Amino acid sequence: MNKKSTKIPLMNTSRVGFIVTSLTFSLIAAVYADDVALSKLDVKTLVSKMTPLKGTTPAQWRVVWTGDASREATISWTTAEPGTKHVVHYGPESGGNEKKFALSQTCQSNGAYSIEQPKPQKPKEGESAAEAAKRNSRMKISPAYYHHARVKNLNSDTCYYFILESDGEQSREFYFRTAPAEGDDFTLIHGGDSRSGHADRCRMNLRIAEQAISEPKVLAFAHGGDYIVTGSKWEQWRLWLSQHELTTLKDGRVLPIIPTKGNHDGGKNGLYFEVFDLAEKTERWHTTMLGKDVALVTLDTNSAAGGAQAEWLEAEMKRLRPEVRWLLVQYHRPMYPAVKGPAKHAPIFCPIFDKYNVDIALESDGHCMKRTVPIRDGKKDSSGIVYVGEGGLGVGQRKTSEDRWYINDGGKAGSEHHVIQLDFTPDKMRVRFILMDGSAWDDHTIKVRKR
Amino acid sequence: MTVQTRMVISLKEHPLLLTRIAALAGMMTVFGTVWPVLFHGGSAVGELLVRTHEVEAAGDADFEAMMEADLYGETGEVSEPVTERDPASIAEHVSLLRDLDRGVAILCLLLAVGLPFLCRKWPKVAWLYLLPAVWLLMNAHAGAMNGGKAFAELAVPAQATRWGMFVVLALLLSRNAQTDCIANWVLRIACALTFAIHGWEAFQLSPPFQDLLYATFGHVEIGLSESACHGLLRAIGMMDLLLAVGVTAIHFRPLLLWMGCWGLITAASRPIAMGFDAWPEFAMRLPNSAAPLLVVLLGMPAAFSLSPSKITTQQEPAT
Ligand SMILES: [Fe+2]
Repeated sequence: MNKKSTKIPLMNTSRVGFIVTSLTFSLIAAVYADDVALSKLDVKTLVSKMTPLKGTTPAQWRVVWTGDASREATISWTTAEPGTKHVVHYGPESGGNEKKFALSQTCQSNGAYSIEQPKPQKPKEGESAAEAAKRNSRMKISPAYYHHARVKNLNSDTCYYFILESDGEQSREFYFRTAPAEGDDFTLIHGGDSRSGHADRCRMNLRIAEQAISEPKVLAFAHGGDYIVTGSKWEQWRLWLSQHELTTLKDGRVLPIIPTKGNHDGGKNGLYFEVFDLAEKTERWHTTMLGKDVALVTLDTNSAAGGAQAEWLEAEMKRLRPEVRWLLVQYHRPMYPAVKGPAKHAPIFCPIFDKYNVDIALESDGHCMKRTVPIRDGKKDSSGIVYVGEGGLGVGQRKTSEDRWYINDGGKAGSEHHVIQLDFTPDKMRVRFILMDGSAWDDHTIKVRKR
Repeated sequence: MTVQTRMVISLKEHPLLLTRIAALAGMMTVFGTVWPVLFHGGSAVGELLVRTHEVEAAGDADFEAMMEADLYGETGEVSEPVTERDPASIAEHVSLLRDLDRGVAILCLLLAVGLPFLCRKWPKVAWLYLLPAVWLLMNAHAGAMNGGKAFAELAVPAQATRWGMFVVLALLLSRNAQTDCIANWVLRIACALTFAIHGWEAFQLSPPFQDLLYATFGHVEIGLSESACHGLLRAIGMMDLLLAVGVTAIHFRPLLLWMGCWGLITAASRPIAMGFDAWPEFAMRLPNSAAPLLVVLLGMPAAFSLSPSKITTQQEPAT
């Protein structure tokens, strides 16, 4: 009896063990298979995941954060036709099959993207004028229209479900989560430089979504700039915007984007500002409050560092440093680059970063991976600032200059597509470089500063 | 006295000095340009070639065509399925391009350093100076195509003194009156282009120029206000534009000497603002200072120069 009774539980344990082991293996296999699929996904499949720009069908959706991420957001989309009525229906509960939401917001800003049409080409040899005209008309870029709904008075740490509606055409249901009012139990993803390599750009977008699936604490995605090659070309922005749809999770979750302007994103027509609903004169630099404990200060390395920007930065740092636990900065051109020379902004920005003990500086532009040693006053210093970057969302990676002191002796550099994942906790920030296959190239911890 | 005799007098006085200054300025500009190629990622041409290859290998054009057809209903025809090349073969090709880039840069550096000596023995090899000239010109053009910098599209005229310096060297070392006359005009036009473009950028309040002023003043603990910075840049811009007109219009030694000094100050402002590591930026801009001085040494007339005899008197130092 005793024997029997001992045997049964043993058999049960092994069965449970077998099931658990099998499940674990199949889970690992599933994750692995997904990762393999990610790097091998063919172009047709990638394109089929994006929404065609047709009529007033809402496409190219994004949620933009540049202010108080606990309370407000801008929900934006694009249509192929101008339409007349553009509304976002939203609320803290899913609209269900009937798509009924507690709140709605009519877009406060609508307009045509500024498109520079290519110059008509002369008839080629053996081509008639009519044929040339036909060819030129094919080259014409179709118009497209932006719609921005600025939603305010949101509740913190709440999932907001929404659908986009343009002249009766509705999108599927999406949702995003607002930042907590206080505390820092969340994750932020940072990445930059998606200006070429469409297929890899798409795969990295899918990687971002995968990260958010595997780590539900992912709150938002901060882009370090250089979305495209030529910022004045709508025909490039629309590709990026369609491909950005891939960062949406299968369940409809949208990761709000916190934009930075790169050196390739400019242009007299101001498309960057139309895409992200920013005022060109007053919002080239801004602070995104991710609750009251985490602040992400975005700077513009296309504008002069001195003058207005430095004055703003100094005042902002002075205001924020005593209030927040984690003070982050992001900008495009690196102050401590691993490939090129440093940004001309370094002599002005870095002393301010040092003075106010910034916790981490997020950089892009170099097309490589790097984590510097902590730096203060241009020297290695354990109390200094770690600079990480430098962009790998599809763009070809560059070889780093291994001899630079700040990436040696505790620092690190490499060349692969990547995003940087920042996991916040009250006493430390975990900084991981996640590669396209989901593996971590670097896993570093920064301790919270004494206040 | 004819123009030709005046020129001969001038070159008799300064032939060595003239070519030495030009050779030194050329050497420095190539050194400053080659340094980042070897240690900071590559030249503008290298960047352009690498990007073109990567974009092609990644099948971006086909991808775009597919998106345009499937999502935007534009082309309606996608001829080929998108083929992406194997990342390893892309990396191999990129590495080859980088090596080639470095190789060409080193060759230009060797030419800039070696030709002054070789020319003493074989004057005809002076025409090899056109190779660094073409390399610098191509880099300026590639910089314009790469974009991503304020006023990048104006890189070719903005860098005219750099690539022009080697054209001048080739002309000067061939040592005949006609080529000296051409050299005079190449120098004047190169100075005019470089100063005019920089003047225009300053007048337009180019952000990097603003930061040079902020950082330089910051070093001497002077907090430059934004309005003062903008005012100063506009004044500098106006001055540069006037100097650009002046160098082609008249032969006026104080104006040319000031251009030389100003070229040196602006070149030096880079390492002053950014620290010693920015010395290549200083080196590559030395022709902005050397070119006006060479015009002085050449002592040949500009478009609306004073009478030839006066110029001769001006340029000949008291003996
Ligand atoms: Fe960039």
